[in-house]
Amino acid sequence: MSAGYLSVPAGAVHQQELSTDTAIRVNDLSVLVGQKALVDNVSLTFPHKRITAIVGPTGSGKTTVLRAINRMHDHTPGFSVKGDVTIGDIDVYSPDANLRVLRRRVGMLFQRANPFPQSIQDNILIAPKAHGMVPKNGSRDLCESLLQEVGLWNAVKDRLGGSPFMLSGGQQQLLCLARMLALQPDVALLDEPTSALDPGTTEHIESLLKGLREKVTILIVTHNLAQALRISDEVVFLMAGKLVEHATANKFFHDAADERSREYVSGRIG
Amino acid sequence: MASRQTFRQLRASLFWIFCGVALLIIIIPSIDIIVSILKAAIPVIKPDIFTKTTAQGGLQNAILGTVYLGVGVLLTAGTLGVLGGLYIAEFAPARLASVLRFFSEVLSGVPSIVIGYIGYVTLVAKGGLGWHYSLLGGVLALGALILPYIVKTTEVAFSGVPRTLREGATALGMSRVQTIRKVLLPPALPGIISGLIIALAISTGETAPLLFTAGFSDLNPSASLINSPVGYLTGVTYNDLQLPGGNYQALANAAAGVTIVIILLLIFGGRLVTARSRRLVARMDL
Ligand SMILES: Nc1ncnc2c1ncn2[C@@H]1O[C@H](COP(=O)(O)OP(=O)(O)OP(=O)(O)O)[C@@H](O)[C@H]1O
Ligand SMILES: [Mg+2]
Repeated sequence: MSAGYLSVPAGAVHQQELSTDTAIRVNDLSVLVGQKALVDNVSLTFPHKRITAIVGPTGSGKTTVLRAINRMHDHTPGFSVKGDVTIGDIDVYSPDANLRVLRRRVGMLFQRANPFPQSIQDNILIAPKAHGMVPKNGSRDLCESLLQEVGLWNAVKDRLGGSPFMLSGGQQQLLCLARMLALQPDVALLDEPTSALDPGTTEHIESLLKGLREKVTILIVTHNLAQALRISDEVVFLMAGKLVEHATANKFFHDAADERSREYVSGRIG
Repeated sequence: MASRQTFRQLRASLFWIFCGVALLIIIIPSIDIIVSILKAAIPVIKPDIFTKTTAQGGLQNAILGTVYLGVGVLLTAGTLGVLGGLYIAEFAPARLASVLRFFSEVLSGVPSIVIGYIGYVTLVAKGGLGWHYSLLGGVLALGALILPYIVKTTEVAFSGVPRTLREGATALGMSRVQTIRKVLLPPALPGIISGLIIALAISTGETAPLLFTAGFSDLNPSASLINSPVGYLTGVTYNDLQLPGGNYQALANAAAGVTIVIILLLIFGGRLVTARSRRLVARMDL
């Protein structure tokens, strides 16, 4: 362990064993395009109210695994998914799974902010409205409390009716985070949510995520090992669509079981 | 080294000269057409052509007929085309979508005179529905002509909405209808509207399908959809240019002038909408 940033910061969770309090169970998951397996027989559990970082070289299947969890592959032509995913009492790939309920309970944040072409306020309210979750006369309060929560309120309180495209990239991503939180999800799937953002905004989002851990199970795909080390409790390491190692962050970064994990941590696999 | 650079510069300037010539080949004839039509029309456009029918040497019935036909076409082909484009872009399974696209392209390749003839056989003639010459027949023939265009522009407008927006809505558990209404429609709308406007402009300038289906009338359009022929601007130009006598020629020119002004206004309106939509999409930065 030579790289300085890889020393464990003070206050990190020193969890030595993988959590047994499972929120998401992934069983023999394969994602295929034709005959080709992008994700190959992966079995995993994700711990309840913890942050799990999914890391691995580019093209290793991180995004593909993440999108399998809320069935985002359903509309990708040519993709087929095998295996099971269970989130609490939801059997995600059962033929009678209720996708609306699944996606209400499982939020997703994308690599690039994707606000809707609606006002800032409507961006926040659109999902709760679609699910009939807005209390009468309470829409303004809901909007304010969510924007407060992500630290965007002061920047936008005078232009809630304005376009979200006038916001900076980082602010747009915070808006998307607020939009996701508006459904009070149990699970959040984040695909490199800060890779396009400056260090300040990244830090802000990281501290938000650490706070959210109280109530949400978080899966975050990241290329940034320092970020994984800063915020994650557990780490899942993929290579070429296969699971290489699943360990506590502490173990993964300092005493990984697999040689390839150690090489990846030390920067020899990119 | 120097000679290769000179060659490259020469090639670049040749390319630009070629582009310029191509542009002039497009621009000069269209300006020439517009100018010569307006030149012939302006001296003969007087206020009373708007208040008298063609029977009295005016254009009122033809202008009204053209407007009725345009409204009818928007109501029928506009509605059907927008729904069809939406269906192909958002609902149809891939195989069905490509079949529908194929038929739409075939329809767009049918010459307008053939559409007019088919309209005559099926709608107007005794062997068909027997409507005689009528507003509805004209509307349907014109509609068939521009339907593929509206389907196409609507489909492109919807499928041009960035995938990231669609996925954002899916990930929030929004239904397909909610996604279309709240997320896809706002950015698609300008494209759809400008498609409708251009389609209307195209149909305003058509003559052949109408001669067979709407017939022509020197009286203002009646309230009935069938059994009663309708006048329209391009019909005046077509009929009266063939008649001897300065008055007929003047009226033909006036009708052509009014037609071209309507078409230009529609096209400029369409461009305004397109420019607006470009700005919106540029701001979305997706
Ligand atoms: N539509 C597709 N058709 C075929 N192969 C695909 C398709 N989409 C992705 N892949 C392949 O699937 C593999 C996994 O992709 P995925 O996006 O999950 O990787 P990733 O780990 O998220 O990479 P990155 O770190 O670059 O985001 C890659 O090899 C990619 O080329
Ligand atoms: Mg990825």
